Amino acid sequence: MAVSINTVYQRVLAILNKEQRGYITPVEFNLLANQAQMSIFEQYFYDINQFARIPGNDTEYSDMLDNLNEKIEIFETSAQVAHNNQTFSLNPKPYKLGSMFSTTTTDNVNYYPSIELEKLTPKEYRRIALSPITKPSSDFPVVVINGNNFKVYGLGTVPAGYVVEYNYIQKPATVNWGYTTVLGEALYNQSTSVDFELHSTEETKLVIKILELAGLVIQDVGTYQVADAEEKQKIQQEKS
Amino acid sequence: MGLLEGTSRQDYYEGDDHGAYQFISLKDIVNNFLVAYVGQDKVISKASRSDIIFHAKRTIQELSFDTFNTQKSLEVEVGPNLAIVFPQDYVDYSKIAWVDGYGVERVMQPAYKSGAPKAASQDSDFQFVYDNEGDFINTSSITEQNFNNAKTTNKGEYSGNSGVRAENTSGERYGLDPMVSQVNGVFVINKLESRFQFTSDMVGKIVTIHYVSDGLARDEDTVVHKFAEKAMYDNILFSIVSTRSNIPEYVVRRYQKAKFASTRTAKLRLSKLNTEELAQVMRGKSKQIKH
Repeated sequence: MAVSINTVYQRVLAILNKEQRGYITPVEFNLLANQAQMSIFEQYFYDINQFARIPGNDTEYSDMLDNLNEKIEIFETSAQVAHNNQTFSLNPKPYKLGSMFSTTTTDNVNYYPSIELEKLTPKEYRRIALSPITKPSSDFPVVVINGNNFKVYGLGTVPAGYVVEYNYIQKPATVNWGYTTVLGEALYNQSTSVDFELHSTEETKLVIKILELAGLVIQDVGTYQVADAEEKQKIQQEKS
Repeated sequence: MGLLEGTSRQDYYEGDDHGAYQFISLKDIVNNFLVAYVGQDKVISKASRSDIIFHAKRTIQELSFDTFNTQKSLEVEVGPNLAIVFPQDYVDYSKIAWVDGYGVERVMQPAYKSGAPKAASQDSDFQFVYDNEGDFINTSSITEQNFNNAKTTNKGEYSGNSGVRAENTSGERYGLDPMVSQVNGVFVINKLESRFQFTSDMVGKIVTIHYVSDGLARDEDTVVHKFAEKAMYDNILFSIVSTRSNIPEYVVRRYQKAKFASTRTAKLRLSKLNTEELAQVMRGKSKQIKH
């Protein structure tokens, strides 16, 4: 469901070359493409916050929140890290950290079932640990996050085979329009290219966003203004 | 899938965990609450699990005192020191009785006319004696000694003997006080030293202490009867909403009413108003009272 980087590049070039506005090199395009991808990706989280505040609808394909979640699900994954009863770090390091669980990798260990860990800052942990009825327990364990250092409280000493499983959003892969130079011309090379990981519905938005950025690069105000107006119109249509 | 799927009948009857199906654990209550009440388009948009745990445990404490029908009891033999310390998870007693040879509980009354004061040492000039830090030096209480030495007597056995509990015979010549005229005996609640004290005739007797706890002392105590499950959710909901800022007062009142109604329903259900048992009690209504 990814968006082909070659399709986007060809469209951008086609629009830019119309009326001889200018040209962007593959190197420039790769820089702008990554910038555009991250800009669209980051906006998902703010849009979810906005759409969560208004009533949704029960349609099968047109609920904005469902659509946004579908776009983010592509990047949602989980990983496990050894529990070891000590401070640990997450590897891979998440772009955005979701829920965390203490669980076992072996079926025959019947010590603790899979249990969610409440994420706390050191300050929050110190507060709840002071109260006898809120301090962490085996039923309600917590994980204290201090930068990339994590420590679980409440479970006591867990046996070997236990891991902390965490859900997270990973960063989109860096896109690349790979090419080989033949007779001075850059020809698309699929084997060295990396497509956009964004949802396929983002293809148009990517083209407009890159055009907007390209307008700045080639110092063509007209391109920038047209692309910017197009983007604003699209946002208005989606959010009104 | 039924809640009991995964546990066969054989597992149940041959295991130790009998009767657990009537209860729901605190963990399940907190998780259920998070699922049904917290989140987008729910009553509470966001709440930390610690907050919910706090309010859930506080609700268990409150409901343990007068809604849950979970009184605890402890059977103890009275030793020569004539005292029984409060049970570990004691909050208040509901009934203290000694057990006779037929296993019948003889309900004892608290001593209204005695007590367990702290006694301060005094010198020959009746001045207080202090320790190095300027505090009283405590000595054994005469009130306590006299109470312990006394014996419970039948209201009809009046004598001038100083060893007879004056409380039980108080007012005998001019009319007994029904509140204290009983033969089962009395006890003193020594709150300072967290113990019950008995009279000397109780040595070797078996005493049963019925008491209430707050439901949080042990993990196995921290369960809620299913009759009170809705009351738990409504109490937690009201507690969270009422302690948040920017919640309209009418919303808080709505949940307060829901909490009140579900707590009352839980109390009625747990009171076990069984029609058969009520009928049996009412059958005694026509019995002629003999004077």
